[in-house]
Amino acid sequence: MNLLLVVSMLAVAVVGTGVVLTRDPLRQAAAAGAFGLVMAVLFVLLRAPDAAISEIAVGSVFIPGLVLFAVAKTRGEDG
Amino acid sequence: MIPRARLLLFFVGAIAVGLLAVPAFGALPALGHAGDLVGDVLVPLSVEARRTANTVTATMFDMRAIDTVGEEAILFAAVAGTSLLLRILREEREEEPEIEARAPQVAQRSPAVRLVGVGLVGLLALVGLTMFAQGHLSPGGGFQGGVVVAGAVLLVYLLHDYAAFDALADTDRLEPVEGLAIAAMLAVGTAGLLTGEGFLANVLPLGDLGTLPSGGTIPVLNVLSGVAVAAGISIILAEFAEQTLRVRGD
Repeated sequence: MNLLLVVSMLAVAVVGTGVVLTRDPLRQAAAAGAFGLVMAVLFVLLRAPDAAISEIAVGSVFIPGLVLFAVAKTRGEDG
Repeated sequence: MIPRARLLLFFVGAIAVGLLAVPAFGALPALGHAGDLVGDVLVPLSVEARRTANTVTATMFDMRAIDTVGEEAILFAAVAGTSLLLRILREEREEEPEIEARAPQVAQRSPAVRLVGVGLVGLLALVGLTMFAQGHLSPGGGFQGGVVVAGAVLLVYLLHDYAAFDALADTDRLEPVEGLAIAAMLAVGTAGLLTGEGFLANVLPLGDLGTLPSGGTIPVLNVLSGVAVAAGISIILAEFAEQTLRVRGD
């Protein structure tokens, strides 16, 4: 349990709370992207690079992408 | 339930969970020093018995391949469900992409973005393909390679325009690809049944540790699952994009 691991776990907790506290769905999508990145760092530090690759692709690329498409459709604004 | 009562319930629950979680975490073996029984069994099994350097991939596509086939079935159901829900209804119609028709100068990505896109999409697609081809040798594997390739497909929309994305992620061509890839995984499994060793047994020659053709059926299943995942996720993205940019209700 070294400093790097503690810092990254705290970062996950803080960014996760930030995602929950962001109320606007559009902004929440961006926050979810940041969360995916921080989680991926934690996974690499815990020696799970396969999980980290999946987490970056799914959490930072697809989740915000799909949320943005859905929000654009339901608001009727330009994507 | 009034907000204050909810908050109180939360705090009671959080304290109870905390009182249980702290000793539980304390009782775990130290990070990096787990004398874990499962690890001690799996690593020699994958390295010696299956000649695969990446134990995670060996577990996913050989020792517990049945779970991976189940996951592919879930992905298949999710893609089919999405295509069904986002189909064009009688009272809706498909049109030219609305944003690009209404404000063509806005919808055009700047030349700098397009230039970055040309390099980035190609690079990402290559990284994804490398991950599936070498999943049994270095971190990565079928699912990881598949999601990275699907990410490259989404980037075509983000960094270029909808027309290019639509031409690439054409559901009429991708659906058979996804279906065939999953069917091929099941066929590889059946080959195991035919040799009498059981469904999804490793039936191809094992090769030497660390070389590309090693691990028997593991690289084959890797590539097939990667193709299925890349095609499936691209279909989901194409359906969402079509629904947002093209379909108009009346």
